[in-house]
Amino acid sequence: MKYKRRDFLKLSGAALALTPGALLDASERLQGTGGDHRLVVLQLSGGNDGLNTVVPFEDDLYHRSRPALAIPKARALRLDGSNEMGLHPSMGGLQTLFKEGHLAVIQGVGYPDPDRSHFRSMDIWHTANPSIAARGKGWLGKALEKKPSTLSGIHIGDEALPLAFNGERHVASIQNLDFIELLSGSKGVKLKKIMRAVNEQSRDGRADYVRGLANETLDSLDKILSVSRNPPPVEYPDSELGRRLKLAGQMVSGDYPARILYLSQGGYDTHARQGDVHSNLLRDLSGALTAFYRHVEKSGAAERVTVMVFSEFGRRVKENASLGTDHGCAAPMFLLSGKIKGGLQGPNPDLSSLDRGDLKFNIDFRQIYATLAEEVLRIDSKKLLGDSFDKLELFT
Amino acid sequence: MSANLTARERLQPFRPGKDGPWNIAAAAHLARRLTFGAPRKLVQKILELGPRAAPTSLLADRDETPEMKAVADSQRRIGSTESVQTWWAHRMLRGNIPARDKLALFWHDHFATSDTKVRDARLMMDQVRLFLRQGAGPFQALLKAMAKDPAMLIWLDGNSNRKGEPNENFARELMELFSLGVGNYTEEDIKEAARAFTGWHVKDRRFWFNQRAHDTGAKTIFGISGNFDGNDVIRACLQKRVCAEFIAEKLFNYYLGTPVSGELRKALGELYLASAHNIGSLVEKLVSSREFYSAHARRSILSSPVDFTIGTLRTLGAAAGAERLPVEMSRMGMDILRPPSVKGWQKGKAWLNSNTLLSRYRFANTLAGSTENDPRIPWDKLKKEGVEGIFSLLFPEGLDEKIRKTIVGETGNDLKLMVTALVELPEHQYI
Repeated sequence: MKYKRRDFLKLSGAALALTPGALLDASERLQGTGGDHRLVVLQLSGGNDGLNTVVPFEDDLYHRSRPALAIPKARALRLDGSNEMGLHPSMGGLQTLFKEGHLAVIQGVGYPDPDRSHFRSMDIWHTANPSIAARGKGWLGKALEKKPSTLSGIHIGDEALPLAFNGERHVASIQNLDFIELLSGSKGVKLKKIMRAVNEQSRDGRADYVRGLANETLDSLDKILSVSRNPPPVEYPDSELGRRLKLAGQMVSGDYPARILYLSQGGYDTHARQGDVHSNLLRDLSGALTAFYRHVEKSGAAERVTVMVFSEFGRRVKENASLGTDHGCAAPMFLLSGKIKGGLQGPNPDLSSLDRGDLKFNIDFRQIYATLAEEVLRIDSKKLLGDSFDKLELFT
Repeated sequence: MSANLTARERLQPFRPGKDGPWNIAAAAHLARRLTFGAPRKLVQKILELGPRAAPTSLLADRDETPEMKAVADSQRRIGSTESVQTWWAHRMLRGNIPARDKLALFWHDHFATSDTKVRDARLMMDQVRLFLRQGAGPFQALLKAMAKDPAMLIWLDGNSNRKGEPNENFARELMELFSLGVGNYTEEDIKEAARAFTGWHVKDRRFWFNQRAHDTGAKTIFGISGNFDGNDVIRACLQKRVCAEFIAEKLFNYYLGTPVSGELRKALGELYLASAHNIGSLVEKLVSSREFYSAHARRSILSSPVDFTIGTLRTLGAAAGAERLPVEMSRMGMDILRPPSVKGWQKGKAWLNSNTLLSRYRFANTLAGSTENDPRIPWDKLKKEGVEGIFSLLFPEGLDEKIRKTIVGETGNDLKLMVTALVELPEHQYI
């Protein structure tokens, strides 16, 4: 194994665990006086190839396992402070943010007995529960239930509402701004008024579910309409992810009340000919995230938001015969914030010690959830996750 | 109705007068559940036929009308997913056996074949026609036909199921999703069943028994050994008691939607067996039961996008506009012919989130926008109905007085605005 001593220190439980006092301090620092730190969750759907995202370019085993797909040493974008790990060449934006100390790369994230099915593994990440057989409540849905007066969420996208938000609270799901026009003309305003009036006159309770959802949706639309009137001071990539993150940036900058924002980018299931496909996805990801960061930075909100980027699993170390990679396990995660403790965390991937051809995990994703729950959402992580997980030192 | 009925009693025929009134609200309830929406004429017809005869009459097979035949021919000629979707939407909206279409939609969700993989819309159309033709008949015949249906064979990888290298996809779904449910078979049963279906291939877009790829060896399924082929496996599945409960419960959820206890599940299995495995007669029994007409079954199902769009249009007397429906329904989360997974659509509350709710609002808005050039809604006819008429058309069971007053007060003489508001009402999202 060839990783640095610094990495070792971070991995050891003693160094990772924070005392309650220190935690409180971190949380206080993070929240400022308003207690309004936002969490943006960005899901990379399909299983992102972690090894070609954060590249161990000095590792011979990496190059031997991937004769066609490995990123050549000369092309990997160096990460400050590391002589062994670099970013995929299409992620220039994130390289700069890393250098500036706004990006943390958490390496080797996973969970015990990994499931290689997209659906199962995604459900595990969404519920923070590797053992359940059925779809239960989501970890963010539960968080919303615990703090009904201070937390609310929004999903930006046209997919079904993520399981992560599943719970008693209604979460609005906004695809794009087309709908807003629908409800903003004179007729729309009138209909909105009627709907609000009738929704307050509850009847036998049978339609209460729809009533609650309608109210949540109409409330969100009004506020989104107002924040979306402010053009961002930066240019976002002209892509679906770019549009979604732009709206998220407008929400964070415009103090839209949702504390948890959820977005996703699809297409990471790269079983065949992944070279260009993966490169384009990461370019889009890096470009959109960088634009988002500059956007919130310029509006003075960078220290009041944390972006968490995850995928349901990484991919097999060895490339397959179709110039692609198959489902794997542990992978890196990104965390982006003006308050983040930037840099690489966790040991570099060890390609000499695999589990059925896949990387082993060093950090349980629930450690990151626990840290974010405590410090960003200010929720007792043990109550939220049903167990205690060692928190990480993520914030300055 | 007395609350302490046994499960069997709840499934007994509804007796007008004794178990509750037989009126327009009851007839409209049957219309919404057994077909799409509650057009005035249909409700009147149901009212006259009574709760016993109406389901039989509505489910009876009839010859296609010349209009439907023409639409089917022209859409088939185009042969795209969209054209076949439009054909089906047109049938559901204007066809003469909507109860068969409603049942076919159940089977489409049950067998959940998607054109994203089949990539042959004409074969998808053939499968829907199979549901229309045989969906109300014996379940065994339907399953056997589905096992040889070309779209199904493509969907579940029939051609890669070969002697010596069986593909378990169809055998697994046959047991897990089509007939028994999880936990009622072993992994070994699936492996053996897959062997029985080896060589059931598709060639030139037709079923083809590939003798050379068929495994003629002995198989052991559910503890019984023999030289089984696919039809034997289907028969064996259907002989299991749990199959009766599995299918009857699923149909119960589709048509009644009230909670199912263990006792009720058992009674449903008995009802299925009493219907001699015949789906049509089971459905007739279900929708003429006391449970069906009970207060807690009324307006208890969150409408699917098909029920919402087609039902609303039919209730308002729409004559046209099927072309746009597939896209509109897809925005609401139901892209017909393209179910999201082998399990079909997530139903119930999952139909609604902000996006899909706003898509329903958008649909409601377009109704008001219909003009002479786009004659989706016959506004002239609706004007004659008047405010009272429209309320009773959409809510024959009545509507909360405060809600009613608010809507009438806010929309004044603007009938189109009133209809839009009524279609957007939370109460209207339920059937």
